Amino acid sequence: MEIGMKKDSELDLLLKQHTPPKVDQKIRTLHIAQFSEDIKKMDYLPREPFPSQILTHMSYISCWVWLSQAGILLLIYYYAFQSNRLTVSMLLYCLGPGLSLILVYELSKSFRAKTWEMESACRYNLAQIFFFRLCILFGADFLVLGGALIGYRMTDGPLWQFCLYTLLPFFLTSALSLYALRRIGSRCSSALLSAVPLTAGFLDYLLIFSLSKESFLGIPVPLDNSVPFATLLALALLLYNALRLCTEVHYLNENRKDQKLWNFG
Amino acid sequence: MELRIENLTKQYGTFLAVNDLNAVLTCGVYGLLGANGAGKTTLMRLLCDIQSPTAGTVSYDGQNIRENGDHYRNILGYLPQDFGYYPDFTAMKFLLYMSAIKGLSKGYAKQRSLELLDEVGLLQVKDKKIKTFSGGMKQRLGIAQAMLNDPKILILDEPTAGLDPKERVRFRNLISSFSRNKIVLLSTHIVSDVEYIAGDILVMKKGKFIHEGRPDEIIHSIDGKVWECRVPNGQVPSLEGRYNIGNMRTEGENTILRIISEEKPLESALNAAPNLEDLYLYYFNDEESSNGK
Repeated sequence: MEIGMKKDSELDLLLKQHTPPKVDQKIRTLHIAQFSEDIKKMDYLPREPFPSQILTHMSYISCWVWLSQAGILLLIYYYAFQSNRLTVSMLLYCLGPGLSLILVYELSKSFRAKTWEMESACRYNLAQIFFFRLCILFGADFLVLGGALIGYRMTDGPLWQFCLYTLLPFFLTSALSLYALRRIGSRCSSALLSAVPLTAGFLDYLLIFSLSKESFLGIPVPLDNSVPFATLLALALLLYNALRLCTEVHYLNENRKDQKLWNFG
Repeated sequence: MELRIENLTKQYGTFLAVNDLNAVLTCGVYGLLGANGAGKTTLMRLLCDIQSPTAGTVSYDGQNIRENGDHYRNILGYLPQDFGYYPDFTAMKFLLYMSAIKGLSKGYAKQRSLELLDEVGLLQVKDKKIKTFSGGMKQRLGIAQAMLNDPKILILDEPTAGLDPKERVRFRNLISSFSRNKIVLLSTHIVSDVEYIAGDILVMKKGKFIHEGRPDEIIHSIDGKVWECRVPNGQVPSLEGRYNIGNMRTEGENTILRIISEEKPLESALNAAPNLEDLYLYYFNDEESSNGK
């Protein structure tokens, strides 16, 4: 039937001419139950598997992280192909604190960008977001370290030196940086976050000096078993601080007033 | 659906930010009024489970929100007072990121983000970086992220800060259309926003609710305490020192004053009908002045 443009009174008359269809109560109840079931099945909040979540979070990691890691690795290979062991060794020493700086800087971006409060109120709260970020960044760091080790071996560098000059500073600096992040929480600033890995890097140098008995490339080196022991201890410290950070970060800022420490930024 | 606050207390050292609060919030829009430092932001953080209470509980439909974990956060939308963005994200990328951590499926997230960007008037700039946005645009994007998961509980801390009058009207309409069958709690210093959209108002002072009720009920509590009078311009400074002046308008040699006072300030003063702004000034004028000092 054509309705077209009609007046309200005409429309009323038209509607009155139509008798509503008879509803079978049994069918109606059945339909409602069916709809309710369908709605329950319609999951717009699916629980994604862990690899899928990692991939999702990976796409939100800042580009500069990948670029700087790839840049360092390329530089190491460039000198490794030239068999320039001295430069490769120097680069490897800088690699540990460098990777830590990238790690802690990217990890704490929620605090620096002041998005932590919004993120805390989401389904995957701050603790889970930090856990995903740590998994991604540690994964990438170990790939870079593996690549660096291959590069170092190309210059016939011994494994213990790689442990001493790269792994130990990386583990120790990262552990200290994560500890600092645990202590300062949302009050962290760019200047403070940069200062922590750099200071830790310097402390690493002092530790290496204290462990050492002989000189290699201007840096004294140890000759006993203290290198693997110190490296493992630093790894344990790093894992401990990473776990504590993930478990504490959600309520990290609760007993503090919102004030920044040493904000030079 | 109810959000029950029982004996809620939050203490920072010796300072009681939230002091033994009790309230039951059901569907509707609630306006939270209070001066700076009254405990509004702490209360909102406690309701969002971002901070843990020193004592007391918050429960949603009988379940403690701290034990409910992500089930509670699934139905929660929150806009903090002081927030920022990842500057290199575009508006669309930011909403997709927030959708991802809210656990929304990718298809739904994309559709909902576009819908909300349209509603807050940012669809045209969805691919522009947030660092190029004005304060008002950032605020609107914040409101959009809070509504991504179609929350049953929406908590907005100073949502209209930085919005111009036109944007505020748009925000009020957005909240009004959104609030059906939901609990919306918003705090603001802009009293008119609360007056227009809030069905109930909670007045907070020094960590406690000092008034709770419909706007017209609360306003009646200061009946007979608002006065209007016309005085010569020269008399204004002395009256300013003695009384709580709500408004002043100069008309030639005279000034029309709106005074909030327990007693009649001048013989010529006439009682005026109070509004929510008068109420705010009545309770918080002292605190606002001391905060300003």
